[in-house]
Amino acid sequence: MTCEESRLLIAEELFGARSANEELEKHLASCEACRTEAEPVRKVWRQMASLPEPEPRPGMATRFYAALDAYQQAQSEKASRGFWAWWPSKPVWQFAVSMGCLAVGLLCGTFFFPRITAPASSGEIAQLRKEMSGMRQLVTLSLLQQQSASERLRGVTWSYRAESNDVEVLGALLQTIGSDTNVGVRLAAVDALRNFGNSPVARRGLRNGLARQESPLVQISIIDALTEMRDSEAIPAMQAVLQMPVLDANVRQRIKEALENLKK
Amino acid sequence: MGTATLSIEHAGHSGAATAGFAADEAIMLRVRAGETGLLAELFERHNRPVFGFFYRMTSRRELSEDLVQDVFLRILRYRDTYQPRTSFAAWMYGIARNAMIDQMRKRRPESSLDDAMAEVPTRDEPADERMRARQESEILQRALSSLPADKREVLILARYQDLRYEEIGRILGCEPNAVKQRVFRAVKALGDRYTELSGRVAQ
Repeated sequence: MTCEESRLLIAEELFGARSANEELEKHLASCEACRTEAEPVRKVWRQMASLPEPEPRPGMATRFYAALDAYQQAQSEKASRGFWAWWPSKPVWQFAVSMGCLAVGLLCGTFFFPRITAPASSGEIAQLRKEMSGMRQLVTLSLLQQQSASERLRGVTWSYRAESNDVEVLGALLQTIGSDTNVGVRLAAVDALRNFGNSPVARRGLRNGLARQESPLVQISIIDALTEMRDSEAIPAMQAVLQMPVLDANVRQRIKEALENLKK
Repeated sequence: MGTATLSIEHAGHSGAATAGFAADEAIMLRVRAGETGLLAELFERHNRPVFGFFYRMTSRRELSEDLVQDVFLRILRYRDTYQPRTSFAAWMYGIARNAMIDQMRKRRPESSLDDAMAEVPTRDEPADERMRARQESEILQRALSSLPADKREVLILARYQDLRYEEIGRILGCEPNAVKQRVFRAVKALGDRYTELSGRVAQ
């Protein structure tokens, strides 16, 4: 066996492909250079197992699920269902589409009869509205990042002005509930999240957050929010919290009430 | 159709790696066929190791978390390019690698990975017996961080990502034997760095 071959065999051994190879050991016994090379290699490889496993923060998963939800929502909206696929099912949207058609009609009218001067076009208004919503999102997100608790509280208040399908704001609120150091801010964030009651991500975030909260006040607030959302999937999460060895008596009581309520 | 019908065995630490391999492939094929919700399953299985890969490569927490997000969204976007009967892990780490290269290019075009890794603080602690194990692992961490990016990469892939050398060959685009050579050289370089740094601390 050559020295080069012995190195390949040691590498295979590191990968766990083979444990002890007789020929390799024979070579190492006879070749001084390979022996002095192999020993530290094996040792440092073993030592590498002692390095700590890096852990992501819980907010990473929350953000991923929010993004996945948004993607799926966009996909399902795109999926066509025959000729009338574009016609919305909710009366509100039907009305909106009708108004849209009217607006297009009016625009065409002003285009073909340019003597009548048009007021600010609906395109401009939509653009303005989009910019406003983007600005509200920006303000909310940046306030939630502040050092001072009262600034973060203002961020939570701003989140009420965000669209109820704004995944960025939703993710930031969930992160606040999970990791903000101030109980008041966390409580306010749970309240603000009720606005997102229709979003499965919000409900899942609250369910996951329930067991991790150390403040009974926040726990009770989460339980109330989930009950209000009629989230039946929260039942196992609540039952799991009941099993925890140390649990505040008030929280225990509130969970029992909530479970009765949800099971109805 | 949904997660309820998903009947795959979770390959635990004791489970055979091949079971995990087969399950990953089965899930990925269903994601490819349009069941995008199942991506959550792949995320649950792999987000920590992928995060570990990025964190060990960059030493930056926030950047690593962003990159994990990027990888799984890329998996969704490029799901058509996944080939059946090939290792999902190898495909995924190939994507992870590209995501990292793109990110580095975008963020600080003038600096390489190595510069980012160079800022590891030096610490002189007494060689107290209780501290020894911790100190040793700290020195090892520093040694690993100070290796050139290509050596560090092959080492992290081989040691921490639970990959076979054929898979690493696929990720890095080289032959299995070349992978073995590179791993051997990288471990050797790490050992040399480690000895050098321990000597410096002892002085």
